[in-house]
Amino acid sequence: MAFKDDGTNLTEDQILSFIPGFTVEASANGFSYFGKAAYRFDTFDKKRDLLYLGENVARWQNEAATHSFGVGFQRLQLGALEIFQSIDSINDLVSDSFSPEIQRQGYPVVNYKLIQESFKAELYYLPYFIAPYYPPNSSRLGYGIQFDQEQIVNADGLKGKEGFRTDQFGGKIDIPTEKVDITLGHFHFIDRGLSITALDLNNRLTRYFYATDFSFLTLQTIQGDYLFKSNLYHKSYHGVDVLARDLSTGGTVLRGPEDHTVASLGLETKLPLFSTQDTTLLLEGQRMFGVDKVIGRRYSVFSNDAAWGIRHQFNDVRNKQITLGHIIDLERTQEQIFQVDYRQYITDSTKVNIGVRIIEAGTDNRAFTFDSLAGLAIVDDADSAYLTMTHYF
Amino acid sequence: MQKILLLSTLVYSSFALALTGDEVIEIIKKQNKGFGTETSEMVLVLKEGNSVIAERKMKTKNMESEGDISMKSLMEFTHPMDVKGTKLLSWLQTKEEKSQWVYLPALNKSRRILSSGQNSSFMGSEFTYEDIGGQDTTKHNYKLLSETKDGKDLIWKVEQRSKDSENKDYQVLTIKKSLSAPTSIEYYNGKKEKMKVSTISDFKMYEVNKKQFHRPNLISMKNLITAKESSFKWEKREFGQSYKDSDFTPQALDMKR
Repeated sequence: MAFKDDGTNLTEDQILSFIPGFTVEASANGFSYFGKAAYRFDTFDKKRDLLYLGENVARWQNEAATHSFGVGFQRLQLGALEIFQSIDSINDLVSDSFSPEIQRQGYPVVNYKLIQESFKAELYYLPYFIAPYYPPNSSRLGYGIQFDQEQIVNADGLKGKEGFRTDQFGGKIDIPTEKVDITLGHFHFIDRGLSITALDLNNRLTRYFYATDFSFLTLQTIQGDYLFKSNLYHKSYHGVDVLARDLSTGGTVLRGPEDHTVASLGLETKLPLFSTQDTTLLLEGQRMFGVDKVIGRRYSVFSNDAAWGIRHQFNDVRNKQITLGHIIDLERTQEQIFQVDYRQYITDSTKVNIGVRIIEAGTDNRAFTFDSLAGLAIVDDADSAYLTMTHYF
Repeated sequence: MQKILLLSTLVYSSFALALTGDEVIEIIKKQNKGFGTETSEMVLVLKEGNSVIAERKMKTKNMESEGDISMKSLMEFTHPMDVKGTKLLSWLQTKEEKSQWVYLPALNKSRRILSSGQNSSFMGSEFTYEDIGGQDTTKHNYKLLSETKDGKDLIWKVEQRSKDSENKDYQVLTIKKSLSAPTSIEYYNGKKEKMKVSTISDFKMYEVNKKQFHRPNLISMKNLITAKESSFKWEKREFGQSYKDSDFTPQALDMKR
């Protein structure tokens, strides 16, 4: 990875990591345990060593498999789309960067499932808030901000570390039919996907995380040769904000996120190019409503974006697959992400995955402004190439 | 849309001379109805020449259904490790294309998927998704080419051609009446060149609800152009499970079954 020279740090970096992981699965008499964990040993920067707890769940289900209780670290995958996954914001994010599959985090969850022939209902209780991992200063792109603290902001006011034990809860219902799959849900939780950075009144650089009521709907339907997918969510913060010092003026200001809605649409179809192979075209778009464009860019990298992708599966014995992807900001068309990913088996138990990601925001303005910390500008030119070898024992 | 399944229920029979190919197929479909539920464990071996280059293992559950959905099936991959736990749920529908969902254990998530192209290779093997998921008999014409005696048994050769006039490929099925099943299928291209041969063997008889069903324990597919060969071998097969419709729903894919 080559970092842009920001004048304050040497901004070229590389990571050579060894990430041993394990998966354990056991079940008896209706009880089961599934555990998945990995640890990243970074050969260049020990501060980047990190334990990843993926799914680690102890579960009980009745004999008819209609009721189930689970306790442990779980990943809540709620969205229907493939490229724009902003609906998966309850957990799953390791940090504010893209993460390979093995590095995705689970979240402490207690949940109950009721499974009937025509629907599945799930209730969740999340007793702890865990702030997203933020890589150390030496690994940051651009300005290398180091935060002094994290604070939760909810209706009761500010809470520091002592508030990380907090009640978060929600539920969802899945209704699949022959034609359409529908998921409806609502969660009250501390939003990990949207934090606001500000100086507190003691001039400590703080990441504020706010309580939100999050309602969502997903749809998937097949019409002829096309699979249509959509996500819709609304986040309400109930006007809760915090008195902080403005980064640009030094004065005091109330900081809090605004309610907003995000709609995403996707289409997937097979292209008849090769008779024995599968070529899939993906088209997706996402737009944020309820806030102005500047705010939207601060809230999400993808506030008004379109994407297309081609996934070609060779369907051969090595399971070769190549994916091309391109995301473009519809308002600032110079903001684009290009990605090429290739994967295949080398042997029955060894896989290789290589790829390149190019991030282009087209900005020459590196001044320290809110605008430079919004949208793709914050990771402009953070191009990367990766090679991952995975061996299964 | 009427389907006949190669892997579990592709079967054919007859009782008289002068039958048409379509009549043979209809009788076979009728003969193979009524098995109810079935579970099996299979190994898919991929070979180049005499060398085994890969193995895939999977478990399947099938349940006959009434109404618009004729069959529900659930396939769970158990090997290799990176696909272990991946499940593929299919509803074969009489009037529509099949509905399919995949469950990805790494994401703990199930999602609806587009069916792979029917001619696409299944997991890198010489089998296609059409071979695995079933031939749509309403989209084919059948012609009885010959009928010969094998002792007390009858052997039919039936030509299967797509009703799509642009598709010139065709297949010749050799069907054994006593098994109500094909013992080989030859695949030809539009130039009448033989491309692949499937050999179906090691039949075992099962009795379900006082009705007899024959199922093969080995199906090999040899590509005559590339000399590659793939084989499905059954390690276990049982009938008569008390499955419910709720066992074959996308919302139940993340449950232990």
